[in-house]
Amino acid sequence: MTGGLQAVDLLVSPLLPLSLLRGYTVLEQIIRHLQAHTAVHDWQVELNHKRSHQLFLVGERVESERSVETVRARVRIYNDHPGPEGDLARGEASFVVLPQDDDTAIARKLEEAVFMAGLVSNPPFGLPGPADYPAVEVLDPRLAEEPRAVLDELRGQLIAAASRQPQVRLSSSECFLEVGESELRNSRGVQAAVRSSQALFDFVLISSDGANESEMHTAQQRRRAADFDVPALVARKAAQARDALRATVPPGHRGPVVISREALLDMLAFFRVQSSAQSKFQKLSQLEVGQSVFGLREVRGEPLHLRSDALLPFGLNSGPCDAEGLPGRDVVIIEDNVLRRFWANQRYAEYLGIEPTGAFGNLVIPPGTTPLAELLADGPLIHIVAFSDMVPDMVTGDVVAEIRLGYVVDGDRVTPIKGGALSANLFDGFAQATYAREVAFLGEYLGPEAIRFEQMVIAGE
Amino acid sequence: MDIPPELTRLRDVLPSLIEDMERQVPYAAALVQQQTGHTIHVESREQHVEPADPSLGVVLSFWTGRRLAELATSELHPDRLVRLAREFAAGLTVEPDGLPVDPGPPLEQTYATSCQIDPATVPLQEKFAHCVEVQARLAALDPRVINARVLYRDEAETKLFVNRSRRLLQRIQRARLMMMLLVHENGRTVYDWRIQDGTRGYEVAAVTDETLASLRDSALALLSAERIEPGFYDCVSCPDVSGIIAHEAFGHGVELDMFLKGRARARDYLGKQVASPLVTMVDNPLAEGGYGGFFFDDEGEPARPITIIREGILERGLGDLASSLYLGVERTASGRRESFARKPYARMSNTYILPGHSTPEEMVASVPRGIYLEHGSSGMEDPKDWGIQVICHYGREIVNGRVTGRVFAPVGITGYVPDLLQSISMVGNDLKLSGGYCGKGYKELVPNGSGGPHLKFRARLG
Repeated sequence: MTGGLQAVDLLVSPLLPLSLLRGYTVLEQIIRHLQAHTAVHDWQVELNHKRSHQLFLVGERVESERSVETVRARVRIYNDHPGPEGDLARGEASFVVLPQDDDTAIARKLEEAVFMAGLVSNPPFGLPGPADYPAVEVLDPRLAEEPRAVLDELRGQLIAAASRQPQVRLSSSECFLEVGESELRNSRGVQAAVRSSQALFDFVLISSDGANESEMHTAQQRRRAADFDVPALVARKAAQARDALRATVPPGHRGPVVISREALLDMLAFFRVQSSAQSKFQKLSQLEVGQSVFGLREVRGEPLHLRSDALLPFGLNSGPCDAEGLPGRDVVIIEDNVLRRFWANQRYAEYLGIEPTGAFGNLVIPPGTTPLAELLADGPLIHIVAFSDMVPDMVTGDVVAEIRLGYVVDGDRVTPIKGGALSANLFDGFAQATYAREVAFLGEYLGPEAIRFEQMVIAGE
Repeated sequence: MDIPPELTRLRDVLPSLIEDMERQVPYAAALVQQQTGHTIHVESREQHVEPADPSLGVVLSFWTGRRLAELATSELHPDRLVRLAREFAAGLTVEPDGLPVDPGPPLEQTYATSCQIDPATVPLQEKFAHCVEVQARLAALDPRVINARVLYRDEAETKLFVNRSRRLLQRIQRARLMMMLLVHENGRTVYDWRIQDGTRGYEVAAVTDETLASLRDSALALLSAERIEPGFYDCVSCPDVSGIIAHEAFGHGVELDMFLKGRARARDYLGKQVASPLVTMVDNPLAEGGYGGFFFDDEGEPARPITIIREGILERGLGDLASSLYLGVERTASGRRESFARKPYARMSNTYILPGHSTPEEMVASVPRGIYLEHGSSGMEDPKDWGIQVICHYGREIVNGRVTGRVFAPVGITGYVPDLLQSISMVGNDLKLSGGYCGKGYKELVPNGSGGPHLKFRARLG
């Protein structure tokens, strides 16, 4: 498809843009204002309609249920003017148009935005133009059509699965199902529409041996309800909750550490930040294209390959285009430890003189060749399945994170641990990493289920 | 106080809508929310000025006796709102033996935070020029500065609450100035920052040369920071680190919805010793300038200070409407929402340990070998198992009662909450609150204040 009104929804084909589908006229109304204003040199409008159904349980009892519906348009305008040095500068500002805004309100907000955009002077940059948008699966049709039935099913599956687990009870849960319809237009001719779904499934299991209790909390997001696989998820978290009951503070440790599944996600986000053109432009990243992301460090593990994939079916960061209209793509960011390109939106791509890739998609790492069982075989090592909170320093790569649940693995002996902290630098850690052969899909991540780092420090007893 | 027109219109409509809804359910209430303000972001090669997200919407709450049903919408047209509310209420079932909600004594009141300089009275170009000027001062501090960032934000949050006996309106003015310095030398890039904030006005944007010099010195010191040897240390925490400790240790752990869900061990320790007798800890929405402050919560409960721990004894928790009803305890003004689109939970406001009698200098002087912990950057609670994680951007070595030039970064505090709180051996006579945003689990961010005095304790660092 090229230009025009683009169908990107697999449920309704061809999908009418939101403005036509819902009878909204506000988009055209806004565009008339934008086109008539002489100080608006470029613009972008995104109209969003979101409907959310939310269910909250305490134990098995419904504590609360909510229905949320919002409609709004976010407008971004660009104004070109002489900068402080006399050269051409571009300013930008945004505003939100709400359903009750009439022409007078829109005109007032536009004037305020033009004034703000006139204040700031940035190097000029452009906006994306029309493009061919790929078809990407981002909508769970059943979730969109029967959200209450899906909520009831998830609730039923959760309660049934938890009740089958020994020594474990359901403490609470939250489930949010959201369907969003959005339509994007800009002054360069971008016209795109997408209908997507998203589900948040959050629950807490409490384990008890009669004398003591412990808990395991999980919060997962997917585009399809079926991707939660509730029985398997509950079984895994229940086992962890039982292990947490007998977990002790780990010994101090310097050596191999294996980190698996959700515990990996925030660590990997570091590479997403470091490989962004914005970080490079703002000097938060010192990475260079064509050079090893590990600098002069000796790489003794398997090479790191990392992709940004916006085409992954039902990926949380998938879509036919990003928020400014660049088509969704699957691009190699790091290959054999070498930074192949920075990912970039239009603005930072122009600033760095590189090709725009669009917003970062889903983080994809190819599986390794070593089975997880082998990664865990050569102990003693620490296997971490949950951190309390993993917040890497996005500039230095330093991390300190409390272990919510892990295991000391020494041959056949596996001892649960909690407390203590991982203390590491992610550049150092990934330079000595081995990737599991098993693959996990975690909503915005597709890759090895676990990674083994040869040299990390655990602050323990 | 200027009341946004959308709220003025609804203020007149909502009482009759509530009356209408209470023909269907035993209790109904409405909350309307709106934000105004600006964000200014200036760094070495970029500038941005943006209006605050209006976050304008209404949430209608229906208590059916055993559950809270809510309809949240950005639709503010009175006629359409009434139609939506009726459709929603028609689908609700009232439980026969439900718990009754007390709407509270009649109260009609308007509140507003006071500030020295109302940001709305300062022209935007003046604020922007000030940020540009501060950024230039920052960038000129040292040749090793590779980027300097100034982020200024002011937000006026207006909320209207209506139930059958209350009509409350509040305007909370928050302002924040963040300055960040990124420095680079010998292949190493590090950064540090300073934040000035509160339920205050444009006065937070004033920047002294001493603040800039202190920021420069700490950022440059990080260029030679080492990793700390993991182990147990005697520690002195500066106020913002003390605040995160209080917040994570016995803030989240006494939110009453956590009691209801069986997720808080604190429920079994009410009236028992959980901390050093030197520790008295409060949650105070009315703390002057506290970033998490308000006059009434999102369920219409008027704010008042709550003592959580008194001289080491756990006294009481923080309750939202539903949790307090189920537990049969008195409500506190702790029902807070991320926005109209999200549920109310039991939440903290400004949570801190009250000052003691020691000077910070005496506290440092009493440490033969230890760490002075600065710049808390994040924390995480574990109310069930009483674990705690607090990440400090850095710590400074103390030897023989003096801070040496040696810096460790980052430094994480982990441990068992009662061990940590009972190890508190000195409490400073100072008190400083700082702001931030607090999540419930990993979401539901609300403005929050923490801080307190300096504390001396023993903890595992890594």
